[in-house]
Amino acid sequence: MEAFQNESIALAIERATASYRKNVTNALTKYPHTVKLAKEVRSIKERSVDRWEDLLKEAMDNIISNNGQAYFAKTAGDAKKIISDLVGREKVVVKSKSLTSEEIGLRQHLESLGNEVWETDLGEFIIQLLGEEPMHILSPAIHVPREEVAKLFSNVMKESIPADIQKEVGAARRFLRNKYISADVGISGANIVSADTGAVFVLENEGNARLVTGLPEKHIVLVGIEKLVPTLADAFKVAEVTWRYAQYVIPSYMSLIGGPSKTGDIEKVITYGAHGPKEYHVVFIDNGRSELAKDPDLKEALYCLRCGGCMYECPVFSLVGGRFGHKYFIGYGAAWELAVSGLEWAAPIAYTCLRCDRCKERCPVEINTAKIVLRIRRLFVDKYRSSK
Amino acid sequence: MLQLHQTTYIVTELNNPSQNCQKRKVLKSTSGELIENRLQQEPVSSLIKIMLALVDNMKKSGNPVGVSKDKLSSWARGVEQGNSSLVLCTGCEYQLIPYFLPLVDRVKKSGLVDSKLLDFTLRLKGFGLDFVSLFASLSAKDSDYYNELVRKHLLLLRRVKEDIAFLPDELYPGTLLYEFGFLEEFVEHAKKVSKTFKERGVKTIITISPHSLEMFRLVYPSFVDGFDFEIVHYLELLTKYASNLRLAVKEPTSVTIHDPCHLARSMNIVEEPRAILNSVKGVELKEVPFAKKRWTTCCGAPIETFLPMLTEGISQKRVKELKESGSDIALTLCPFCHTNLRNASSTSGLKVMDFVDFLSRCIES
Repeated sequence: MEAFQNESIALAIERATASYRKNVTNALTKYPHTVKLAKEVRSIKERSVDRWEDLLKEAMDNIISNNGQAYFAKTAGDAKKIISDLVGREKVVVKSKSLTSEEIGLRQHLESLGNEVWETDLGEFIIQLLGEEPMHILSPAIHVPREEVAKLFSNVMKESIPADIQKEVGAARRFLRNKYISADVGISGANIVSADTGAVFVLENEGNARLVTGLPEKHIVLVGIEKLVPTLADAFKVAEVTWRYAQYVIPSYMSLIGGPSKTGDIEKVITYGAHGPKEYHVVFIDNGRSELAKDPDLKEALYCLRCGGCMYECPVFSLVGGRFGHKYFIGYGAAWELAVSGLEWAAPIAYTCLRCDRCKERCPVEINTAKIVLRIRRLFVDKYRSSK
Repeated sequence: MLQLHQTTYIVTELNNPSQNCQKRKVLKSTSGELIENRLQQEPVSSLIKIMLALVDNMKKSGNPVGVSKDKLSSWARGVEQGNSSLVLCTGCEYQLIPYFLPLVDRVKKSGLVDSKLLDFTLRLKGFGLDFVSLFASLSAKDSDYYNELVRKHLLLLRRVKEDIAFLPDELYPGTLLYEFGFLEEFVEHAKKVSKTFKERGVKTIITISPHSLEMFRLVYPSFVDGFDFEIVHYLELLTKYASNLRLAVKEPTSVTIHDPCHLARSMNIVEEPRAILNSVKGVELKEVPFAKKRWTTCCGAPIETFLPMLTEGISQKRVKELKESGSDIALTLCPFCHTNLRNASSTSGLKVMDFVDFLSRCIES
């Protein structure tokens, strides 16, 4: 076993898994209707992915009529260009956690243009300071123990931070508070977008996304086209299932954002940028998703709610964490890698997957990973054959 | 030649977190193209190399390690073959295990996986697969052991159904071709297998491994026209006649069951082994916290030819779970689970036994 004897990763995941299983069982026991609702959500996602183009048009029209700006980026490069044009140079940017921004390397891109960019989700903040990549989609710093965090924070904040979790959280809060205040731009992802209103849903527990989306003068949302659902009612259903399978009875916060901040309190003259952002931009990104949507086996990967439950059930992940993946993790992540990075990135994941199917048992929308993986292996063999 | 990308997680030296951070930074600071260029200088992936070797064997001899037909049928020496249309098809899986062991060992010892977990790209240079020399190290003891396990399946089944026959030439269903993504080769092979069954007048096929069962019951019908045989798994058959078996243990014994993923989740065979155990006098079944259709944990076998070190870690974790049942004996229902868990449990105090091996010892004299 010496090949991956990084005991701290395996141990950290073992603890996280035990607590995840306990919490999700509690949440589903207290709200047993969630299981049935999850089936409905699967069918909402099926319908939505099949008509993403219609939903995109509807959502963009509604965002614009709500005085926001909406954009469609076909590729990662397009998305980076749109966003960096909006941000500019030498600016301070605060970000909340977004897997999609990891996918396109947004932080690094903005930094390369001379901007100061801060991840504000605590786990993501730790990962940023470490110069690493996330180990789990919801708990990116799942593998970093408190002692290491203390060392890291002391170093960065130029003060002695003890290895005490409460104090570490406090230190991050103090440090980042100044960044929110001075930030020119806030960038967030989104869990769901309802096409009928253009409303964007952001789920979180820390409260950082509220500040990121509420405090700076400019708010930019980066969101994949697979997050579109037809109606506001659908969006609430997806939200409830997402947080329940992410082990929460109820998350601390869900922000529903429909447009820029505005007031009519003085002479009923609508004025933008009251307390929140004056400018509101939503960037929809394809980056290979529409190709997945065409494939009957692979499109299931687009139903993913990003609850993260599957990862706790994966035997490979339990040993090596986020090393079983690249930008996206574990077996079904192979489809995402195929979409965003290409077959040569997807194949190693597909051939590492056990096809044991336990992730599907946990998945609220029953993504058939075994089928996805088999499909990618076949694509790999076919490509090998044709390249000979 | 198609290259696999060296993904960032793949290069990390997991023994050394600080080094791994550094490597990640190096990769990050380079542009995507630079990484790609570096990779294109690497020779063919060992993943492909291993797969092609196995596929090549399949074409030549009908099984992934190129073993001769008489060796695969040697378990049946001295056993009446029978001539009914009810046929036990071993699927060759038990018989093949001794041949996989040196292969897995070879991959492990190549040193190519030791430091670069999940790396299919870099462990290539000088990596050859010569099956003849591989099998020079084959242990006769292992072969005898697995042959005996196959024989026990037939003898036990014949206690409840006397007219079970078997075929003179053993057929491998082609599971690895299907699993590795070699669909064309798989379909071609499956057609041959189906044709042989037809020619031999087979009506009902009895399987003894979850993989053969899954192949014949779920997969073959979608790829082979006229694959209309009745497929029965030995556990289904034994369950039906469990009371006729008259099984008992000499002293009260507690056992636990390791449900194989494919048997439990894919084929939904969960209650059958439990019902059979229930009919064995003196046996108490203690369940594992993670068991049955939903939560049984994989033994790690599916990736052992590519990533044996990872397989080892996964099977050791499963042994730990099995021990949580409080029983010292874990019964397995799949030859691959059996081998992996047996290897992983050597120092754990857990005795891993094949289900049929256990039952055979419970036959009342």
